Amino acid sequence: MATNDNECMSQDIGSDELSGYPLSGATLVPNSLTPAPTSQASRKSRIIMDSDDEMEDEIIARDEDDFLNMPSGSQSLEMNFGRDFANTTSDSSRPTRPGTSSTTSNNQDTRIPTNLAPLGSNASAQGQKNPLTSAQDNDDLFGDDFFAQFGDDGELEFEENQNKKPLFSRRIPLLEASDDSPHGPDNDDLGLEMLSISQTHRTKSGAPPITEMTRSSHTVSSSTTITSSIPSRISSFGRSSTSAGQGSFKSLAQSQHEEELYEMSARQQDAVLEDMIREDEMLRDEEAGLQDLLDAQFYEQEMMLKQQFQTSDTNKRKGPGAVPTTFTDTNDTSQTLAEYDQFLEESALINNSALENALEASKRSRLQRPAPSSKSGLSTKAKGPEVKKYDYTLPPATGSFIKARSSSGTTFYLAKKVRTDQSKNSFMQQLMASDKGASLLTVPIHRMIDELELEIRNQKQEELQRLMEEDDDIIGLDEDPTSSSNERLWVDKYRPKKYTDLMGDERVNREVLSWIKEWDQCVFGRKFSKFTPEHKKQQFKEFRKPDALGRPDRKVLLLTGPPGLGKTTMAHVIARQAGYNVVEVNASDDRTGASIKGKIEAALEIQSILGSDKPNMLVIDEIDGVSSSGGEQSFIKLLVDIATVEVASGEDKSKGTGGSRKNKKFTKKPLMRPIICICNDQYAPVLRPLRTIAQIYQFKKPSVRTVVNRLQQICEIEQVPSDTRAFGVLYEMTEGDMRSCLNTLQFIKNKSRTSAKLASTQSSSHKPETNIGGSGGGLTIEALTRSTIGRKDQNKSLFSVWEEIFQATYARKTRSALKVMEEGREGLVKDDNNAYVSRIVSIIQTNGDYDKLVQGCFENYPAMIFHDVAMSKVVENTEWLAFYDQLNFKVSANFEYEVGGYMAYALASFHRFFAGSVRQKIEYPRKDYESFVAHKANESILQGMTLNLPAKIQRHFRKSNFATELLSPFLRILSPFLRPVNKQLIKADEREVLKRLVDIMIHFQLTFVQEKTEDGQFLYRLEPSIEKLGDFSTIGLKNVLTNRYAVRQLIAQEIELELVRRSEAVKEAKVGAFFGKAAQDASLETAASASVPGDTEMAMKEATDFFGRTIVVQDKSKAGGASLSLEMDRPMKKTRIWYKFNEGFSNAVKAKVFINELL
Amino acid sequence: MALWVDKHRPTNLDKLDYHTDLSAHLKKLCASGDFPHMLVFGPPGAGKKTRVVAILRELFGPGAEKIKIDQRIFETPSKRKLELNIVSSNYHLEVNPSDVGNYDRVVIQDLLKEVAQTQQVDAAAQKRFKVVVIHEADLLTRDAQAGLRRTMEKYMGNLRIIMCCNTTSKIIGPIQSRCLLVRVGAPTHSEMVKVMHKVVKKEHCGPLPENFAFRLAEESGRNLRRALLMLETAKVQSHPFKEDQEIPRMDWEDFIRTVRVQILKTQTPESLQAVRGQMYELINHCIDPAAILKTLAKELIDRVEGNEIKMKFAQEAAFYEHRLRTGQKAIFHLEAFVAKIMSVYKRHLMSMEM
Repeated sequence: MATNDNECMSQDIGSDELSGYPLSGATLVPNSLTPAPTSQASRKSRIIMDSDDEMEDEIIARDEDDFLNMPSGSQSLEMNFGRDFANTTSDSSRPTRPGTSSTTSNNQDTRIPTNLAPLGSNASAQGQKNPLTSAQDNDDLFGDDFFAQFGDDGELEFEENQNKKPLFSRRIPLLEASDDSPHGPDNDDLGLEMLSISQTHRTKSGAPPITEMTRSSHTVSSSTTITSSIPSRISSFGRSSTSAGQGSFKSLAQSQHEEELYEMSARQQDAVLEDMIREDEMLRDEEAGLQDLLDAQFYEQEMMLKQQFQTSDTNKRKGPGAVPTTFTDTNDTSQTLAEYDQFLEESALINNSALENALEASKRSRLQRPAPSSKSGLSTKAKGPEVKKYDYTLPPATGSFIKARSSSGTTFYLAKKVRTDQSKNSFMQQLMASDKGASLLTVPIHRMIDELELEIRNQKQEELQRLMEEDDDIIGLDEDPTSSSNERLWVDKYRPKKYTDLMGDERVNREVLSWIKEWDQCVFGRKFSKFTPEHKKQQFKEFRKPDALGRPDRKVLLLTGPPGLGKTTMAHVIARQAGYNVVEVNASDDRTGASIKGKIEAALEIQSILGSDKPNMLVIDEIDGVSSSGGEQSFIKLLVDIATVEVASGEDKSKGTGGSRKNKKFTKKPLMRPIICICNDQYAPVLRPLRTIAQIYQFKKPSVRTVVNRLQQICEIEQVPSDTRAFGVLYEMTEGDMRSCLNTLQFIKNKSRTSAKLASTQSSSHKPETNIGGSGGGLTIEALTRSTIGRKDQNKSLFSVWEEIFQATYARKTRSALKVMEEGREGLVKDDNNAYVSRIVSIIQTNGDYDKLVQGCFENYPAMIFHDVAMSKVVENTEWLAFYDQLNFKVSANFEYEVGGYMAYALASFHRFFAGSVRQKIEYPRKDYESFVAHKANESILQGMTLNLPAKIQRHFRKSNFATELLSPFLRILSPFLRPVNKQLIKADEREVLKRLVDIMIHFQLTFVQEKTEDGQFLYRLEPSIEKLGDFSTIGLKNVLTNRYAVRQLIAQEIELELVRRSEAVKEAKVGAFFGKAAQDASLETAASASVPGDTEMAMKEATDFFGRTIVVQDKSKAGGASLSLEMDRPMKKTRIWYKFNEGFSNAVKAKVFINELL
Repeated sequence: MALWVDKHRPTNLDKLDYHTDLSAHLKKLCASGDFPHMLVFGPPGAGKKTRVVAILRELFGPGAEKIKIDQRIFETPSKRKLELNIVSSNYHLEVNPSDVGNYDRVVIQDLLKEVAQTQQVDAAAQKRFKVVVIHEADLLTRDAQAGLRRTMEKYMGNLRIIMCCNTTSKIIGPIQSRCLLVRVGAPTHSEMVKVMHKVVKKEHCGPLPENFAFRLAEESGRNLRRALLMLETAKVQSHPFKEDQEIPRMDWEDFIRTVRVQILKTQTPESLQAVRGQMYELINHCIDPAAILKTLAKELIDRVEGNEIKMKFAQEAAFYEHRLRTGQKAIFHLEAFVAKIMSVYKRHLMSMEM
């Protein structure tokens, strides 16, 4: 109970402090007004009003709680004093405490005028004694309040007072503290404020109880009210002390009533705890240097203590009568003897009541819960503060202290200090005493205190720790499994923070780190020396061209690997380790080239002023998801450009494609900061340009052992019961994906907890922790199999599928681990020999890209290592391929998707025949695509060729048989032997050959086109380029198509001439036709027959119109066939002959040449 | 001046050099009132198309030779545009629906309906129907053939269909039964030699040695078109024909020869991979995979010793050619064939060594 109360109070006070001073002060003012009238009911209502008045609800609630919880005012008062005591001790931590009571009261005056004034008015309205109080001087203003209250309440309402006391009690200590605070110039502001706030509180709420005090000593001024109450208390002590004799605190304490003692100790406990908490809080707020001050203070206190001893001694010697003298000495001189007498009487009375009260309290097992009368409450209250100080001392000693407090003048210093010191000291003594006298509690109270203190400290520390280094080392935390830590994902909670925490391949980790370290020279200007053996160093020197800026060879790092292996984590950890500030760009950002440009440049070139002074490092996460669109401005392109910018010295590495060209456009600065890119699929098409310039590290999944170890550690921390086998299965299920493992674990745990909670609520047992370890929870194979967490339904990449297919040993391992699962799930025990089928098939089916998969297998299998007698395996496999092809045909051509389900089985055969134990390199299938492209290109040539053919030929030579039948002979027909000589020198038979060649070429609409090759040479190319079609790699075009430039030139010229000649002839024929004579000369005939097949007959035949009548010759437009008409029309216009000047001809001599001469 | 093969192509039934009885039959058929649908089939270079053209001429007179080329655009139900070249005269249309692959059904339906629904209004015309010539009919998909089937009956009044194909095996039964099947067999060697002599004479290029002509005929595989092309090539290469003149060969056939050498040299997966590369090259050059397989098989059979193994090769070739036709990825089947041949040959060699 004691602890409970303590907590309560500490909270209360804490909240008091937290609520802003002005606010609370303001709101409280009316409170102090209201109490004045006073029946119990009214009091209660006042409290409620409190809440209405916008005081912090919490506080009020607590107030009420306290209010209800503490039936006896006296006790609460005592508590207050205890607290007071604590406060003073805490105050004592401040360097000096110069304030006098008078000044304090003054201060109070100024600070709480509102408070006082209304009270005063109240008092004047209600009580007769008000005039008296109002007459009091400044010092007594405080007292005004009390008097007013007193006047209101009178003696009548003890119970009510009791009720209120808790409130009061809480505030009293604050008052005292506040008293100190204003005067301590050295006090830190925070404390001061807090205290002053609390003071205001106290004054209001505390008022009523105090009035009673004043009642007991009517004439005493406010400052003395307190003091008077204290003496009364002292007197009681005095009695006991006298009986016990005198001297040391210990003996005194022992001589006291045990009950009382307990009360005290309880109060003190409270006070101490409060103190602790306060101290704790202050410690947090203030610097550690405070501790030193504290020490100094203690020393001072000790000194004071000694002095006090002396004074108390003198007091004792003087006897009760001496007390007043001391009072007068130290305090107000205005006090009269009469007053003093009265005071003595009063104190005696109070003492008695206090005793009674203490007895009552002792009857109740709880120290805080006695229900004494209001008087006793008062007395105890008076006792309370004193208790700490005077517990063991004689009344005079305490008296002096008090006086010192309330008085103004030179003496107060000493007195006050004495008091505090005493209190502190006495507290210690009391602790010891209580230790001895603890017969009511099973555990000595100070031990309890210790324990409590420890607990609170721990809690605070934990909280602090959590706050400050949220992400501490994984293993380091031991947290309550039921606490709020659950809300964090374990993935985050146990994310590696240090390099040494990293899992996975050590080598990769190291190499990545050293890659980053290689930047040191460039970034930090310090040399990073990688340890390399001497002989290797030499080799390196030869190989490596040193970068002018000391950057690593490859400027970009590309981390690839399946998800969950910690790529991102690793990048961050290593970057931190190497002293970089990570700037991350991930898929959440807009990542088109244009939008990213500025961002990257900013990250790489600008140093943040406000943040850390670390250099930036760019981490581009999920880079494979970047869009490839944007052409020149695409993200990857930009990145490559940035990375490949050369140092100004012009050291030419000519990396990357567009690097040099693009540079001029925007960046000329070389890359000065490391860039790490992270992706899952390094073969993503977008990454192609990056791959060539990046240092690539492939992440492999960590070994089972490391993963299981880590999982086990985590399970221990999280108190998840587990067994190793289950870890193994989990590993297999997730395929080494650590993230997935953790999520699964957490899921299982949460599941078990919720079920446990359900169970516990049903059985109304409130201990979920026990259930966690119980039957429901824990990572077991059953849990894995039973729960809905399935295997990762991950779309395996093509490569991983291919690897699965072509890898045997690995496959076997997987099977063994997963078999457990399968058995658990389906209760099927599979035949070992056949197990691969379902597994491979399921892998293939999850990928689903059969075409690519088959193609990959098809292109890779001959390179695999396998034993094969007389190719029987290959043959058998080809059967499966054929089967696949047939199915595929059905599916794609006939849309019979029903058979598609079997396609995966065809692929499984590859595993059966060619899977090897060695990891074999698998290449991406390109040949088929290349072949496809080449085929398409050739086909388009063919198409172009055949479509231009005249109808008659087109009828007979189609695309289908052109390549197979016509092409080869045709190419040879096109390449007769011709000497490369001038046209004039050609012999007659050669002319014949040439003429025929030209004929044929024109017929097939072929020609030679002059072209300039890349190296500046001219050549004539056949157009359409059917040459290519006939060109086979190994044999080449033997004896086909004289490639000589001169010959081709000759032919080309000849073709053009012939074309001109023919058009001329057509023209003449037309002209002839126009004049009515059917021009039958040879040239016309050839032209007609050549250019428009079938037209010869047309020309010969009499033209008929639609109705079969012969057409008059003039009606020439009718005569033409569809394609002829064009050529027929042209000559009708005034013909102009264009002479085409060919590049490469000499134009040295310009002369008029007529076309006739050329022909 | 076209190539000889075009230049000397007979233009009417009377001028045809061989299969004279068939020509006579056809002539009679044309003269009679009811000309049936026709399915002309036979090996390449036997003269199918020549006969078809001759028939057209016989039916419609010289008007049928005034041909032009139109490019027609068809639209599939899925709004895909298909372009197709159509050779046509006033009296007929020639289409090659296999050019549009799987969409041939659309072409067949649209085109035939269009033609069938127009009627000849010229009372003086010899025939009241139009003819649609379908080339490469054996490449028609089943859908297209099914589409043809009913149309053939329904529009019999306005339309006759002449289909040209190499084999009837791919033509569905209903169509075969609706057509007059005309087989045009490959010419015999002597017939080919006769034609070649005739051509040489017309071209005035000296005497053609009998032996050389015969070798040409043999080499061409009784494909007259090819033979004539080779003849012309030979003429270009060395004009006065010699008795032992080198016979011009197809480039791709030469290439297949190198493949054959590879296959018979080593029978390992590596070798198989090398062959695969060559196969790809052949396919890239638009050589029909079936032709590749056939040629290769022929080469292989010629080159190995022992009847048993020859038989085996032939059997495998037949098997895999069939496979080839059932699938769509030629390279798989070609490789399967090569692998099988390798395996068989290797076993053969091992048994020889034993």
